[in-house]
Amino acid sequence: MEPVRYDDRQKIVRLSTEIVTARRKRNWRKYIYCGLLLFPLVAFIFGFFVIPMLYILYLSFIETKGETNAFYSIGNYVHFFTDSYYLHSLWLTIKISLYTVVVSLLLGYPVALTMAKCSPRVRGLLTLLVASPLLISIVVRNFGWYLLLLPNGTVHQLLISLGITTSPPKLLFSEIGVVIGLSNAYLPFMILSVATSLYNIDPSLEKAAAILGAGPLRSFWSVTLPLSLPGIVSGVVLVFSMSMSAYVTPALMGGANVPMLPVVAYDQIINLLRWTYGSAISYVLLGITLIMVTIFTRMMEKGRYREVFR
Amino acid sequence: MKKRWIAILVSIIVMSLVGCSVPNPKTTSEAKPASNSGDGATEITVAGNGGKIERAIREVIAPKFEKEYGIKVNFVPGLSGEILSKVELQKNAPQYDVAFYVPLDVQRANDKGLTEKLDPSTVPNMDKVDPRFVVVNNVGVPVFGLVIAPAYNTETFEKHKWAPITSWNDLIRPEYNGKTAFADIANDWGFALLYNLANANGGSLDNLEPGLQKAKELASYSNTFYKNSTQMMPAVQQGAADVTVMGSYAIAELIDMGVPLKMVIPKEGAPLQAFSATVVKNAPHKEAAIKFVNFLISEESQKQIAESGFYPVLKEMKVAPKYEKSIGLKDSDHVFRPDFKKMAEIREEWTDRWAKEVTPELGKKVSK
Repeated sequence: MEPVRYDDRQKIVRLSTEIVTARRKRNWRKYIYCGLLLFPLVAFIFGFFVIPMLYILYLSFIETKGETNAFYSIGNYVHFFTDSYYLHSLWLTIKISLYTVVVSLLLGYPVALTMAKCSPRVRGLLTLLVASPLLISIVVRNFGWYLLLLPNGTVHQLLISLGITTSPPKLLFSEIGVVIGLSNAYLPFMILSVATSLYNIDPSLEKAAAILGAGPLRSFWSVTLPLSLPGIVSGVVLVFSMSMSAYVTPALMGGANVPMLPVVAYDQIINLLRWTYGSAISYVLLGITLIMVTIFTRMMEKGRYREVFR
Repeated sequence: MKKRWIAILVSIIVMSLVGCSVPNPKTTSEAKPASNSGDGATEITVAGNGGKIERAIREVIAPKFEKEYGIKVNFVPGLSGEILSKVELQKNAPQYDVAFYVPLDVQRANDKGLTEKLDPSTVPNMDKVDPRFVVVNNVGVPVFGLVIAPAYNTETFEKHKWAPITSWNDLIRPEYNGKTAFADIANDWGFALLYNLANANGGSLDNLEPGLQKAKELASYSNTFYKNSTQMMPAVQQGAADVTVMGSYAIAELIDMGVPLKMVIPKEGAPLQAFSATVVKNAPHKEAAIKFVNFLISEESQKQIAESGFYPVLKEMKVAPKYEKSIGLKDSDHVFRPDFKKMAEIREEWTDRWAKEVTPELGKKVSK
């Protein structure tokens, strides 16, 4: 390779400054194009998401006394945070969502790892298999679980006839049942987001680790796992926020025993027609989810492995 | 630049919020006047319970109505409470013409001014209706009659030599070992369980306290409370539950499927009521809706409705012969019309107390 001569370097510098100024000129135009391209989506989100959400927020600050008397107040929120029933329900929601995250991470990570290591053909097949549950509505899937897990249902009879146990554990109408249902529903999201970040890991890094004397376990622990953190974080955030707001699964598989917040909010609105209080519950749920997710991502991005997120 | 965007955003938000004022039910009378477009209406929208009611209307009643009046019926399925919520939301621009409710929601819809008063001269069939089914006079008509009553699996009861159920209190027995299917309080069947337990223990709708105390005991011997009939019916069918409290039409359907169930009218009595059809306030096709409501309580329609397992709501009419054995009522059976007005008043308070005091007791005394 020829060494770069002085005037060439001059040229390069000049060229690059030209590009910058040209870019600056073109910038405002780019913004307009971007704006035009984004407009339909922004309008859609604004009309069908932002405005309804603002309306719900507004409702949550209205307190009703009897049939005719309504006024602005923060009473709904005060009620929520001073009543142990709702606080317990909030705690239950957080707890079950955390369990769901842990279960789906533990089950999902090995699958994602397999997908990253195998040949492209097998990977395509695996992706299809992982995503296939998403083709069926969650209501149908959960109702299927419901029929299988009913006391005296297929799973119980199987456990008894195989002689594994004489009194099978309570799978339905319990926190376990809800965690089973939720992990089943959200596992694909965890697998796919972890797998995507595993695909991006440069394979030579593992070779380097091996050269430096790391065994497969050490190499996984010090290289692969940290590098897959962005995928883990996005998977955790996805699964956690979806579990926090899940309605169908807790309603079907938890019965009355697991009153998670979305179910409580639904009951308040639909069965008691307490729109304003139900709205307040929804906003508490939204707020807590946002806070927890923000703290978690901040902690990860600022922590020991912050370099991975750059 | 940034500030301008923020200003624009804020102004849009403010504009969108100006449209909403504190919702005050008193303003409903200012809503747009009733339209008279009913005259030439070629279709109406009917909202009602899914499942049995939906099938009866879609498959039997609606085709006949269309044939006779040339008006097509669009059916939107949903739970009674959901329909009431939607009707309340749409009160300034109603989309539904006819809404089916459980009696409690007829009362609530009436209290909120969401129903049209019916004139007996335009709904001539109202004369023939058995008054025991009527929730509020001239507000809607009862259509699908039922009792809410206990039922038990006779095979299991005989096998274990358990005494048959004769009282609401017999629903509470340690022997059932959690194999019960009772609806949660938000469901009509669940609320019926509460006030009938109160009735059986010296209470009433004015004093549900004894019922609530009994319900705690009932919860401790049950694994769960079910959210709705869609969950309860497979549980009873698969033998996950031997004891239940349901609407008579659901019991009839399970017996039809071959489940060895027996419906009991307890000695303290069982509530008799009906899914009722109301004409939504300011319905877009009011006159057609009134015709439909009148058609629902014609003898011909009621005969068809009886065939699907409901009690006909007309005087002098009896349950269909094929259901006589499973859900037919004898003269000695004590059935009563509950005080729905009172029920609507106390519903919220007792729903809250049930959730906080009864639900936590679930399964505590079920042996593992």
